[in-house]
Amino acid sequence: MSGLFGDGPAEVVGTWVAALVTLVVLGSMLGERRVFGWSQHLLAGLATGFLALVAIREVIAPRLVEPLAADPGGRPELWGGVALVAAAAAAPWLPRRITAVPTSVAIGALAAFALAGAVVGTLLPQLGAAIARPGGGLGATAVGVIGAVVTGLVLIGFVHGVPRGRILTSAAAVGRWLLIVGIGAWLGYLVLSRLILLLDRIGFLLGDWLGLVP
Amino acid sequence: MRRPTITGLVVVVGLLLLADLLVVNSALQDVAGVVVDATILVAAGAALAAGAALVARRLGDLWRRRGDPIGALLVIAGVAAMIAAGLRPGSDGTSDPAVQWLLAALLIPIASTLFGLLFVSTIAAARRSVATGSREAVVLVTATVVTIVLLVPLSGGIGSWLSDAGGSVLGSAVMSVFRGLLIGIALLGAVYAARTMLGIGTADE
Amino acid sequence: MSERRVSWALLGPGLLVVVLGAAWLLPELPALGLEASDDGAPAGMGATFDELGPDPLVLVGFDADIGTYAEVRPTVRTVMADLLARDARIAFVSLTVEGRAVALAEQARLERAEANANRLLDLGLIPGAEAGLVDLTKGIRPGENPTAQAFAREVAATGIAAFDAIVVVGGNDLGPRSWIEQVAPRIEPVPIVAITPSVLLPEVLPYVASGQLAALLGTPRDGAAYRATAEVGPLERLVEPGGPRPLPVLIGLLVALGVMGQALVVRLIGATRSLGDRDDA
Repeated sequence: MSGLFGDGPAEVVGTWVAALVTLVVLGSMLGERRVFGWSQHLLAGLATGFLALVAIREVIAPRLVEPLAADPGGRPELWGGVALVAAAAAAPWLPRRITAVPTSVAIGALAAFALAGAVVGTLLPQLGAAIARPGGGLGATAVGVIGAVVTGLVLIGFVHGVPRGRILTSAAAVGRWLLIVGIGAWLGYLVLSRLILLLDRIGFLLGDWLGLVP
Repeated sequence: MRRPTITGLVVVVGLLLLADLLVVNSALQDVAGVVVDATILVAAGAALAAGAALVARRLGDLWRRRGDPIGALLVIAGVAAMIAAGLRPGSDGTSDPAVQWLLAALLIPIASTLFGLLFVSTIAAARRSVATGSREAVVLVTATVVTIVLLVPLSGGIGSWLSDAGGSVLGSAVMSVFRGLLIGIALLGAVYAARTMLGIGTADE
Repeated sequence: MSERRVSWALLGPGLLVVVLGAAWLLPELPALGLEASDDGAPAGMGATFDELGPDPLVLVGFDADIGTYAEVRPTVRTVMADLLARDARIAFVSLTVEGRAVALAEQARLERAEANANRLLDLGLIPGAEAGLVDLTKGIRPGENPTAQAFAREVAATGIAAFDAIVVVGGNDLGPRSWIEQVAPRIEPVPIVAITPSVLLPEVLPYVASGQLAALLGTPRDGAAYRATAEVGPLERLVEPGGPRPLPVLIGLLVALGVMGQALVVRLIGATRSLGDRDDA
C-alpha cells in the first residue's frame, strides 16, 4: 500500500489522520463542502510552508548562509546573492526599481533556456524524427509516411491562425479533427489514471487504515 | 512598454546564456554559471515572497474579519507547523521526522485524494460536453470510449488483442498526433521566448 | 435540476466508492489482468538497465506530482528495487517542491526498509525551474551525507558526468521533456528513461519514438507489465505489494463507459430524430 508510515505510535496516529483527511476530501462527493474547504486551506498552508522551508534549508542556507557564516569576507560575491534573495523575497512590498534586477535575471534566464531547449531539444530532433524514414519493409515505410502526414496536419491545425488559401485551410481543419481524436484517446488513458488514483485512496482506507487487505 | 533597464538586462542575460550553450569558452561558462546561480537564488527568494504574501493576506483577512476565519487560521497554522517542524533548533530540516509526518499524514493524502475525485468529475464533464451537442465533443468522447474499451483489464486471448491494439494505436497514430502538438508548442514557445528576451511586443512586467 | 437528479448526483459517486471498495476486497479473478501484453515498454527499461555495466551510478530526477504519484508509485518502487538489485548507486534530486516532498517520503521509506544507505544519496532540491536543471550540468553540491560519503565525494568531483543513466520520475512541470531540452544537450550522451503518469503521455511519447528517451513506463498497463517481469531478488521488501486490483479497475471502467456511452447514444438518437423530422418536413 502507500507505505508512507512505519509502525511507531506517531506513524499510527499519522495513518489515522491521513484516513480522516481522505474521508473529508471524499466526503465532498456527497456534498460536504465546508470541512472539505478547510482541508484545502490546510493543504495550501502546508504546501506554502514546505516551499519556504525548502527554499531556506536547501538553497539559501547551503549556498549563502553557511559559507558566509564560515568566512564572511572570503567570498564577497555571496553578499550580492544575499541582496538578490532579499530583493526577490520582499518584491511584493518593494519599489519596482529595486526589484528590476532579480526580475530581469529571472525573465532573461528563463526565456533563454526555454528558447534554446525548445529548438535544440524538441523542434530539431522531432522534425527530424517525423521526416526520417524508419527502417524495415514497405509496411514500416507506409506507417512512417502516414505518421509524418498526420504530424504535419496536426501541426498546421495547431499553429494555423487566420485561414490563408483553400488548401491550407482544409489541411488545418483536418489537423484540428485529428488533434481532437488524439486528445480523446489521451482522455481515455486519463480516465484510467484517475480511476487508479481513486482506487489507491480506497486501498489506503481498506489496507493501511482498516487492515482489511494484507 | 517595459523599462529600458529591464529590457537591457533581460537581453544581456538571455544572450549570455544562449552563447554559453553554443560556444565552448571557459570564461563564458563561468559568467553563465554566476547567472544561473543568481536565477536559483531569485527563485528561492520568490518562494519566500509567495509564502510571506499568503500569510500576510490571511492575517489581513483575520484582522479585517473578511472571508472564512477558520480557513485563514488553517492556512497560517499549516505554514507555521511546517516552518516550526523544519526550522526549530535541532531539526534536520526537510528530512526531520516531524516534517515527514506532516507530508505523509496531511499534505500527500489531501492532494492525492483530490486527484482521485477527478475520476468522477472527468466522466461527468465528458457526459455534459456530449450533452451540449457539439460535434467536437462527440468525436472526442467517442475516441475516449474506444480507448477505454482497449484498456479493459482482461487477460487471455481477448485481453491480449485489446492490449496489443491499444499499444499500437498509442505508439503510432496517437504518437503522430502528439508529435505535431509537441512541435507546435515548441515552435510557439520558442517564438514567445525570443520575443520576451528581446522585449518585442511584451506587456509591462 | 429535479430533486431526484440532485440526489443521484450526490449518491452516485458515494455508491461508486462503496462498490469499488467491495470489489477491492474480493479475491483476484484469473480472467482479469492489468498488465499490457505488449512487453515493449518494460523490455526497453530492462534492456537499458542491462547495458549499464557493473556498479552503475544512476541519477533519479524525482519530480512526481503529489496528486498523480499514486499512479506510478508501485512502478517507481519496483524500479528503485531493480536498480539496487543490480548494485546501482542512486542519487535523488528534485527541481520542484512537490517532487521534493514525494522524494523525501520515498527516501524515508527506503530507509525504513533498510535499503543500503551507502548506495543512496540525497541531492535535495534545486529551484529555478530550467535554471536548476542547467545548474545540475555545471556542478553538483551533494551537501552533508554521513552515510554515503564516498558516493557524495565522487559526485562532487565529477558532477553529472559521474552518472551512467538518468531516471526521470515525472508528473510535474519539470518532467522528462525538461530533462531532454535542458540537460541532454549540455552533457555527454547518457540514457534517459522515464516513469510518468498518463497525463504526460502527449509530451513524452514523441521522445520515445525519436530515441531521445531510451525507455518509458508511461501508462498503468506498462507499469504493471514491468512490475510483473522485474526480478529484484532479496530486495522484494522494497517493492510495493499488490498495486491496483483488476476487478475494481474493470468496474470503474465499465461505469465510465456506461456514463459516456449513454450520453453518446442519447445524442445519436437525438440527431437521428432531428434528421427524420427534417425529412418529414
